Amino acid sequence: MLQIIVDRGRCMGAGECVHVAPASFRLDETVTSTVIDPPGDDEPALLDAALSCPNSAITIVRDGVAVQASSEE
Amino acid sequence: MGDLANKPAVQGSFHPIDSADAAHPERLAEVRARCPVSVAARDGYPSVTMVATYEGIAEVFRNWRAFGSIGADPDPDVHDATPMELRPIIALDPPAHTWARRLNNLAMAPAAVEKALPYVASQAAALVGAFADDRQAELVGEWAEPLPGLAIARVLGLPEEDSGFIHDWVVSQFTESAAAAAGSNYGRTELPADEAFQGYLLEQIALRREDTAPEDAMTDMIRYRRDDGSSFSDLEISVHIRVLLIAGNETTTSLMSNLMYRLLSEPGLYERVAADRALVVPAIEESLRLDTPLQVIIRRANEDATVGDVLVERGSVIALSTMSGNRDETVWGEDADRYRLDRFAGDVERMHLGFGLGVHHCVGSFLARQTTALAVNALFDAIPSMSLEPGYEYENVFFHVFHRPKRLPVVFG
Repeated sequence: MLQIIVDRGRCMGAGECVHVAPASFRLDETVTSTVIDPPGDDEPALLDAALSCPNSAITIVRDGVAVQASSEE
Repeated sequence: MGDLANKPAVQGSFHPIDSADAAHPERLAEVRARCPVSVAARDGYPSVTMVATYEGIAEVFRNWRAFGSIGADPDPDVHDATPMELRPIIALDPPAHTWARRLNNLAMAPAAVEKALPYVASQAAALVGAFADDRQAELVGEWAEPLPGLAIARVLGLPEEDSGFIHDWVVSQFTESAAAAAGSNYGRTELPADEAFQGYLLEQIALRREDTAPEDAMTDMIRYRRDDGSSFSDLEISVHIRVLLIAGNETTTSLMSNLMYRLLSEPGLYERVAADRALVVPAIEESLRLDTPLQVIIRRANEDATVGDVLVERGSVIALSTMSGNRDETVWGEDADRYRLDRFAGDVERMHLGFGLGVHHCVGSFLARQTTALAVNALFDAIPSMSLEPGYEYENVFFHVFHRPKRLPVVFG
């Protein structure tokens, strides 16, 4: 079970998540990333969205554990 | 894609590193129309592969594996000679960039910046109050230059009284004489080390390694640790603070100046926004698009790679003309060169290139937008109507990277 967490105190509205996973993220009226319910992208796209966020504002949690959206492969 | 699909880049006449060309963004329409990717070569300037279309620029921005960051200097030797720990965030790629970005986010995330905004608002009101009864002002020097410096100093925790000295240091980096001192006829970003300024920063960092360290963003940065438990050295912290101070001073000054230039260039526009503050945000976003403060961003091809269907050879230095992408008719329409208050009205997606795209998207974007909104609202509150001084002629600052007027003399009241 995947959970998507957006840290609104970190989000600057860059919009990269909307570009990478448009069926799962939108920007709300305060230009802050918001998760679309239910999210419509697969896990690789969601992890890519987390990795693409310039402000590390997105965390993907699988079965209660944060998935490393790491660029250090 | 087969090799036959790859067209070689053609040579163009516009050189994005030459300040004389960079001062004329209207000429970019011709560059875009002729070739989205071209090679700019000119005696005395480094040869660069110039990308002029929105689509091509977005592709390079988002593909950091193929197109690495080497800083703002188009001379790759400067980057290659810089040790890893002295490289600024704009010259790092993931994974080193990711940790540096998280370090910078400690100071620049909205949750951190918001604490400084009441102070920024009061300083904006004080700056405007100082000239509101004079019937005239020079907005760059009296308004757009001092406020961003006060704001970034407050956000980091540096003493308020140092903001003037910091601003003077930033400005000294980007003058024609500084470029000449570095042995160049174009703006350089890697200038000889300034021992006095570096000494000041190391002193401020040392204060924050004491038990009596103030609880501020710089202290948070010093205490920050990567996942492997390592922290950033004093030298590394000083490099990151320098970049935040440069970007925090110069580029927000550009945004504020450019915005006022547009609002005062069309009769009635300033008064219209002053009377309807819901227009402030779309006015700022349209300024960021049309008058991109950082009008060229440098990358280097880490491998043979393509931009669209054009082959870019490994090692090529690439100049992304964000100014050109922000005026690309295929994205913004035939009136892309026009300043329109309704272009971003009601549209929360602001995918212009004013803050870049991808992992390097401007870390200070939130502070820049908020500072500018507070600053322009302070003007509107005190001065409901304003005009450019009769006979005013726009003159761009020296330095190919920056787009903003040198001066903005106004009359009112």
